[in-house]
Amino acid sequence: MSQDGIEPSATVLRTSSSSSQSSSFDFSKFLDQMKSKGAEPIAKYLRSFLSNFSKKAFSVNDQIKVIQDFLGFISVRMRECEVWSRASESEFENATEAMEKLVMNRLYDLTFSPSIAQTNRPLTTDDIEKDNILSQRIRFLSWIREEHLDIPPRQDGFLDFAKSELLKINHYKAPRDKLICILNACKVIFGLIRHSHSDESADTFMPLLIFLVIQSNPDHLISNVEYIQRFRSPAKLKSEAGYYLSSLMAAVSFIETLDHTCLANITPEEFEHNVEEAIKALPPPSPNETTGPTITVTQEKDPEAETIPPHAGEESAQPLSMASPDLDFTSMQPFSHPSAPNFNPLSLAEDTKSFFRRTGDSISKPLGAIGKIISTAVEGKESSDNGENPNGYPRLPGPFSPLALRQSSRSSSPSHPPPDGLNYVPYKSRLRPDTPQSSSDAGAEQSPDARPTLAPRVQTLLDSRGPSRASSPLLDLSELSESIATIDARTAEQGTAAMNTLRQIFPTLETDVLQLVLEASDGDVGMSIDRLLEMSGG
Amino acid sequence: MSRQFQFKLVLLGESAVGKSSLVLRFVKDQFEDYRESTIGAAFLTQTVTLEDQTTVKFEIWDTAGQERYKSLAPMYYRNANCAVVVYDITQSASLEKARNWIRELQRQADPSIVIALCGNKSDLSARRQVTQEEAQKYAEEEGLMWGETSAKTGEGVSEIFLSIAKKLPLTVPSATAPRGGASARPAGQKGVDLNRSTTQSQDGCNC
Repeated sequence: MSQDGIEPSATVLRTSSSSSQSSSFDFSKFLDQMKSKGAEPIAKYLRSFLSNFSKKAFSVNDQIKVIQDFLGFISVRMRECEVWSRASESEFENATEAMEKLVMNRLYDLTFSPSIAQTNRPLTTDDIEKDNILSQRIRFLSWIREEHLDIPPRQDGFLDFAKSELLKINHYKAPRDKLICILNACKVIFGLIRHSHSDESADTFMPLLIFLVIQSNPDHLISNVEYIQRFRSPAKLKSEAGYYLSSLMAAVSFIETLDHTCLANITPEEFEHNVEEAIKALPPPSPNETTGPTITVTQEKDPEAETIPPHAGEESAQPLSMASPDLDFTSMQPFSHPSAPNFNPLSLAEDTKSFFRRTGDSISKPLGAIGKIISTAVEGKESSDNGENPNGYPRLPGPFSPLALRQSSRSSSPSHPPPDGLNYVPYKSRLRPDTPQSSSDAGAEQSPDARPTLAPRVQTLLDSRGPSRASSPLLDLSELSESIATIDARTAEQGTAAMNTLRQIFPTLETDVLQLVLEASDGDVGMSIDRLLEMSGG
Repeated sequence: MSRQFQFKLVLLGESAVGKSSLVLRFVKDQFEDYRESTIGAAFLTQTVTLEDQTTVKFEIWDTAGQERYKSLAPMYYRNANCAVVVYDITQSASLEKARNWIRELQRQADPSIVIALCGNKSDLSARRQVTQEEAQKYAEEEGLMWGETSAKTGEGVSEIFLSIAKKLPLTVPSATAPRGGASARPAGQKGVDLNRSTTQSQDGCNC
């Protein structure tokens, strides 16, 4: 694996995080690749697919099929493309993963049930009804405490940490990132189990997962799980990720059917009484309960929910890294920590030795890349407002064209100048069928090698010769409204959230200390926890 | 290249019978693939190599053994190729629970599922409540594999998993044709992972 540029030290920790998460996922690298001239045909296919997908009303099953077909098709094309033809397995895996993420980021409003509802498009599933039923049920059961599930009393800090990880599921758009939120929450639960010296097993994990779901009551949990199952690559929903996703569904199923016989330390009378009290305490249901996102449950703490900017959630979720399950491998497998050479986890106390860690070097990349793209977009915005330039050279700025809407991003980013120095044209004109670009689209479609793996349905979608409407909702660049300032604000929020997490877990340590450690860890919560545990437990 | 298979194994049994210790022991002793678990020990993988160099990779799905979670088990044994049902030889009630699991598997799981009944805590035979004869007789009647294990000493542990591996249908190389039904699924779509585990077994410990 060393030939593919992954830091050897990183691979020690994460050699085979295999199916569930790709350890070295680098979205910005993919975006850079897509911007290169060699990737132009791929970008064209993608643009055409996205544009056409948004114009048709598919059933959910057809959506799944069409998207899978397209991703299968495009990965064959990508392999043939010079940009990836010599890429290693893992590099290419990065590209196909990123392509899925990019496509689903773009198609989110058409595929994620709550977003479909929010944009007043017709729904073809009952996801939202199920969301509402579940979240209401959880509110009826909000009085459930640890003892009802035979969970020994715990440190709330861990649970709050797990909660915040799970609640991020509504922040991210790509199925991959949503899944990572679930897996991260599960990792935190195992951290808690280890910390309390319990056996690591389903016996201890399941009650905590159920308790976590009840405590956090994430909005649209069913919609999220369904969305992941529909649109995450099936190969990535097996093995470990499949296990934890199944466990989450099992937890939901438990909650859906729970009665007093499923709980410990409670009489039927107490159960009934508690539910009645909980119902009384709830506000009356709104009349159009089933249709709108307006009924979203207000969370106790979910500051993000209200203020999410339009294209937030397109960055990448970071898998929390931690050592393997507590199999006591420390004697044979010393940990290495690329960004903290002096950090010696072997000296950690027994219960903390394999706590969360992640490689520090991968943390800032995704946000940084997005910031860069956005700053490019903002700089170019004024000039783009001058209108279209249909005669301009029809170069694609790459898959991020949606983000780059309404800008002629001509060489405004010093780090990503257009390869040939020519101006980009505004997005709208690029969709015009009468540009040279379109005729080369046609050429690409006719090339014999474009056919073999292309399902007819996808072929139809790729046919971009029909009149394109620049106003297609997908490609409407209103997304660009997020400015650098917003990004900065979000970064700051993340810093505050990180501090809050640390305060919860280490209530006895001084804020200054937490702040110092957090800064020393480049804002990495996992690493900060490692260090603080070492300090307090050593 | 030797043949490689991948199977889903579900672990059932009452809470205190030591089913997770059993699997940890299995995974620990051969420490080949443990790093594939990145989240926690409820899901583990382990690869065994048979005499003819065929490798069988188990994806081990632990289930919560408490009675209140019984209704969740189908979500775990769905599509499982094999099941290990564990009881505690010092608790005859735990064999009763095991029998219930087995009945349920026989009714509801994939008909081709390979079931092994496993009497754990053989190191505590002084406090034995379930005789070997009784368990063995029951297993024979039901057509199950049977063995006693000690997660504590490791006795009998790898034997159980090895015999399951031998009993699984190892006729279709996993990278190719689907067998139809659930049994081929875990193996069928795993080209990349299987290659990866080949690489690992080359530089790792080859047991």
